[in-house]
Amino acid sequence: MVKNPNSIGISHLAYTLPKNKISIEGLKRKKLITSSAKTLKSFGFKNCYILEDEKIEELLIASAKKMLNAENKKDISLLINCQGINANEYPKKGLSIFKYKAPQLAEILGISSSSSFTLSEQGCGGLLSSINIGREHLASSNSKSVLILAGDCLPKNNNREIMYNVISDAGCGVLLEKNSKKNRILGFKQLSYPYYWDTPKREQELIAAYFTSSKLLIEQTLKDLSIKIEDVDWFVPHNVSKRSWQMLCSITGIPEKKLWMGNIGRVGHTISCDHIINISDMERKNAIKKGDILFLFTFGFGANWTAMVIEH
Amino acid sequence: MGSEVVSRILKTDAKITLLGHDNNMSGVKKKSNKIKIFKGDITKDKLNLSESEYKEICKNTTHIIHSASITRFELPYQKLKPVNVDGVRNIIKLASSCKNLEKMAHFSTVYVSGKRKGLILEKERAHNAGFVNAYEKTKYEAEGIIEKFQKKLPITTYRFSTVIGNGKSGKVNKFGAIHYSLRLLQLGMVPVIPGDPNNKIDIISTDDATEAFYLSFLKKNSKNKVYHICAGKKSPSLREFIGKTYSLFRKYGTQEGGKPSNPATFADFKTYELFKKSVQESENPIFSKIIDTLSSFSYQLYCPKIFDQKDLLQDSPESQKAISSLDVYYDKIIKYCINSNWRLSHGKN
Repeated sequence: MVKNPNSIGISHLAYTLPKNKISIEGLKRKKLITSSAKTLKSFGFKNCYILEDEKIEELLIASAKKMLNAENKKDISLLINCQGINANEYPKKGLSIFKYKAPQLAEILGISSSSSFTLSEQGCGGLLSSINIGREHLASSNSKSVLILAGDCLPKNNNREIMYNVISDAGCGVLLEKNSKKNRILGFKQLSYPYYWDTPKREQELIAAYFTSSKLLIEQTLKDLSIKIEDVDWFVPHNVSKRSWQMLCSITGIPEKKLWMGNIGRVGHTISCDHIINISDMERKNAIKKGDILFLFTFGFGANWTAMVIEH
Repeated sequence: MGSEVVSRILKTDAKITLLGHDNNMSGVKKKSNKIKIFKGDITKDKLNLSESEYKEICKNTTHIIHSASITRFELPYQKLKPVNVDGVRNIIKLASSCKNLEKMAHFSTVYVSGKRKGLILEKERAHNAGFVNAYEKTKYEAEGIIEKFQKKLPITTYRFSTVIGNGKSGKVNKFGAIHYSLRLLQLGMVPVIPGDPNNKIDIISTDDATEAFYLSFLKKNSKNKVYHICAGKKSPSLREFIGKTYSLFRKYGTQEGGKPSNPATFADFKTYELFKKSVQESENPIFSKIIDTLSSFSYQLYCPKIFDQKDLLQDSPESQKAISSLDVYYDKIIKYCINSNWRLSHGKN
């Protein structure tokens, strides 16, 4: 577990959902889910957000604009674009293969003096990994802030159900700063198992390994930070099925009342944005107060089980 | 158990009459000319033997060992009843006709105790706790039939715990629910292990079980009794059992390309039921099969119990001593299972 001597934290965060919202029944009618609507509803899902007329970049830029102003833009030395889906929409021909999304976003946002890159291939663990990379960059340099934009949209007409979870499109942003007044990062831990890299081949094995690895990660993270479940004020989930969280809570001893589950039904699982959507809503609803300890947990294909602990 | 018992008796001067239910008995016959085989069927009147065959058995038999039983936990009651319940009635009829009968052994299971918890005495049978599977129920009913004839016939009931394989060779004659479950663990396909990790899990080796039975069966004072042939207080906890299992997987298993071998986590009853419900609702075919296998006995892992052996200890202390603890033989069993690839060609996969 890495310590945080510079009080590096998430000073600003924002998210943007697509305009188009569709119910689970609507997804079934459009043949965009495999399981019955009844099953997915009993797993806690209600809605799904799907990009139609917009582009994912628009959601990222909208999120960034909610956080940035002329003043804090100047200090950004690094922009990380994070996407969990292994896809490049640019045509792979000629010099087009060298068109990159991260500098494109930097240019649009007017932070063109920063370095930029895209982090992919971490699935749903990508955002927390990006935050950790940003934190390490700040800790080892004179840089003051890092901007992280994350978002995914599934290909058009793609099945919206992955491993019994409803997947929404979304974009979000995180501004990471030294001497942040809130969301100080206390620790980060990731269990990586390259054995599972071939997701379609290992799908059932991943389901089988999910609870054991999740429990292991949660226990190890708490141990590394010398804290207990009782010390954590909120567990901030990735918005996978409520059913799986109920089981994980029972296995780990996490009280369900400490789990922010409101967005599982409202939004569903968004690959990269779940934690930012949840923390933003928790702030908006005054569910968290200064000093609260938040335990962020996710699982990403690839495969990784990832946790981050922050002090609000 | 049957073939182990035959092998043990062949070490004596006794002659053996075997009632076989199919034609695959030639291997047994080759073992010794002391064995005579009759092809029959315990579900039928007079075991489906000819009049002369039946009379011959009745005339010459001094000891009967009734070990025939279907032990598949996943089968429904109606499939098990003809052999496990009705078969006992037909064997009782045979025993009643054996003029020279000195002793009869009825093989049963400690799990006639079903969902009972706590200390289970050998003398006890009747209960209202219910059963985990139809197998337990049929064996319970079979013991009920035996009880009615215990005053008329020299019958002793031997209740065995889970018999896992030969402790000396490691060989498993018949792969059952426990072996299939262990294989799933090795494959990393068990999301959660049902059961309270602190509960005892009673397992014995086939050869120990056979020897313990045989030593008792020879005793004159063992008539009209019920004995628990099990590990009893030597039993490990479920946590210890699973821990040993994973350490043996690491010793003998060849993990594919760095596959993680984190021991699967335990789930309390409520969580396991939630998992089952989720699998049923999601209709995942692979996990449905896995649940079917585990659920055929998993509830038993939530019913903490110790099988008392007071009567066995009193009447045949050698029998109790013949039962080794899991540490002595489990290594060989797991090695055999892995080396034989859990005998996939003969069982489920």
